[in-house]
Amino acid sequence: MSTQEILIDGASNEPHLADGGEVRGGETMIRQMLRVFSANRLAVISMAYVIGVLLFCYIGPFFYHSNQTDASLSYQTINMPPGRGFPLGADYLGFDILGRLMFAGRSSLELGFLAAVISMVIGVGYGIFAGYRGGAIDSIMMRFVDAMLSIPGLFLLLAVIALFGRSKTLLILVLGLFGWFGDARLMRAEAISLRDREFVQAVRSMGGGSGRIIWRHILPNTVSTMVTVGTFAMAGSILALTSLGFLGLGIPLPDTDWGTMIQMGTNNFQVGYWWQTYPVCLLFLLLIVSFNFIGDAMRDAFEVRLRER
Amino acid sequence: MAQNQTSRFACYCFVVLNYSIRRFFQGLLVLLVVSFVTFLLPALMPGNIARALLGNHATQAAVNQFVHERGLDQPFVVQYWHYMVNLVHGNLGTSLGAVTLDQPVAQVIGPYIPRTLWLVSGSLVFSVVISVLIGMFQGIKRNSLFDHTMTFIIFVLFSFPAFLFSMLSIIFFSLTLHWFPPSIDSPTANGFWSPLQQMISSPAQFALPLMTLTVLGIGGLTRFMRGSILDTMVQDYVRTARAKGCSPNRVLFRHAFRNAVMPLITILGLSLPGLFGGALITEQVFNYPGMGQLTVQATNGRDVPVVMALTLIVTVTTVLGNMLADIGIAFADPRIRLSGRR
Repeated sequence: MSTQEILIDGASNEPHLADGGEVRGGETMIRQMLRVFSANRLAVISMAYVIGVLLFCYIGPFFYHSNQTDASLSYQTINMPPGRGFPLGADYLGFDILGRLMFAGRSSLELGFLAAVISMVIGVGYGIFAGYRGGAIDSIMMRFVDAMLSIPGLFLLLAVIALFGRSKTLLILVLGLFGWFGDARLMRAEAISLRDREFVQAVRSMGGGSGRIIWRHILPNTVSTMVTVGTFAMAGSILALTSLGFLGLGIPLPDTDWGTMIQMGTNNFQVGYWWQTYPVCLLFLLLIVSFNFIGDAMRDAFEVRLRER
Repeated sequence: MAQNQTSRFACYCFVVLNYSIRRFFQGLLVLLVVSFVTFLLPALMPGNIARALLGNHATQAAVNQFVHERGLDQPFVVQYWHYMVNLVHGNLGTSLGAVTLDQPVAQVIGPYIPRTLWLVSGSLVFSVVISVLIGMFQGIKRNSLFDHTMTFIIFVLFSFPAFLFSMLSIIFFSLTLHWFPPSIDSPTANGFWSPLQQMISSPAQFALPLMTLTVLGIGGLTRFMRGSILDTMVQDYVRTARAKGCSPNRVLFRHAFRNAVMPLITILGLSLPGLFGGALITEQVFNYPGMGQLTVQATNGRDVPVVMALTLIVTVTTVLGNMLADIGIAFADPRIRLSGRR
């Protein structure tokens, strides 16, 4: 919400954004970015796909009813091939796969989103603070990030899961609290590039404090980076969650996620139950690729804004 | 003249050595932070370890006794001191796993380390060769059909999750085409060289895992190599070489290529954490008992000391790799050192 407000605010040439949001030839900034973004056909298709998956997972269950929680009702249909009443067959517990895709997708998307939000909040705060302060504080803070980045992510996640166990809340926290190191580095670079610009100096000369400078002037100017970073963070956390699920460390039953579905499907693949693997793999793969295309296109769109400025 | 050169060489060595020492201490600092994290996480929740081992139905008294016996109730500083002293002596604690209970962690994970190292280094070799070739051709034939197609393919491969790629490669190459076996035979020897011997004696088994890790690696490397060769081709020294009448091939290989490849070393070092993560998944899929598979097993068995030790070892390897990359490039390309990276 606030992202959009700030973007629109920037387009109206507010004085405090003069250096960050100037507009070329009467075209508003947001329209300009939309133009560049929509010129990238792959990104538009990807966007449509992501929206499609969202609708599928959240609106789908209203139109397609299926039992996803009561195993006592589903034992007769264990490993059913696609057919009447089961358009995509049933899984190893007898749950309908089409409905399962929506059911699992909801938790995958929600967890991925919440984890991405947590990691973004921490990463943005940490990075901007370090970049803005500079000096010794900055280098201490960044050495910590360097150290954490040199731990392979999956190993770190497994270590935390081994220690604390796993539940929905814990998975969100783990993915969020250990996923922000890269974001912090990007945001720090952004803050460093902004902190000595004229409009910041102007505020400082007028007596604006650090809090005001960061909150009102630096933060709004990093929105473009934030949106791009956020897109990749979302893809990253969904991917990490699905990898965990694939390793058998995803959300425990009765809930499920795409990774767990893939893992269960893989166990049955050699027997020939292809319907337990292919649909979920395809759905998930296209989603990750789409996220990456969108992120890439956003970076291009924002870069164009910077270049044409 | 000769003396002048000698002294210049000595000066050069001194600068590189100076840089290397600085870089070494930076790496040491990173390891200190990481070891603190691997110490802190379990120490924060001593009850969790006890519960993990004794089960949820253990009495509070039993938990307390367990915590006390292992010194988990001592002050942080004391615990950390013991931890570091043990670490320096190569003592990583004792395992809490069901099968390997009370065995020294170092002994439990020892045999698994070389397997992952060889798997990762094998894939590194392949990904460097492939991505340098592809990236270079993309750079030379910029904006051609080949360039665009490769960019697209690389991008899709780049976002391909490791587990999906390894699974699909099993489905396609192993279950459908029957070219390669879907898993690796469990190793019979534990030596440092035995994984390499196994790779050489039965390459078909390693084809798919190596392919998965290679594909994971080439995404970023190829992109970088393409950009790097484009950058060098517009440099002054390339223009000079052209002007003095070098053949296009000589310009490319003698002047542009060497300079373009150098920065790749740094990127290689930076790609190590991702590769180890990929190796974790790949080992699990192809049933290869390396550090990754052991981590998954230990996580399922909630064997915290083993998981922490594995995390630490993988990180040490990563940091060492990065350090070697930086020092290597400082030796090879003085400009990078003098321009004061970091």
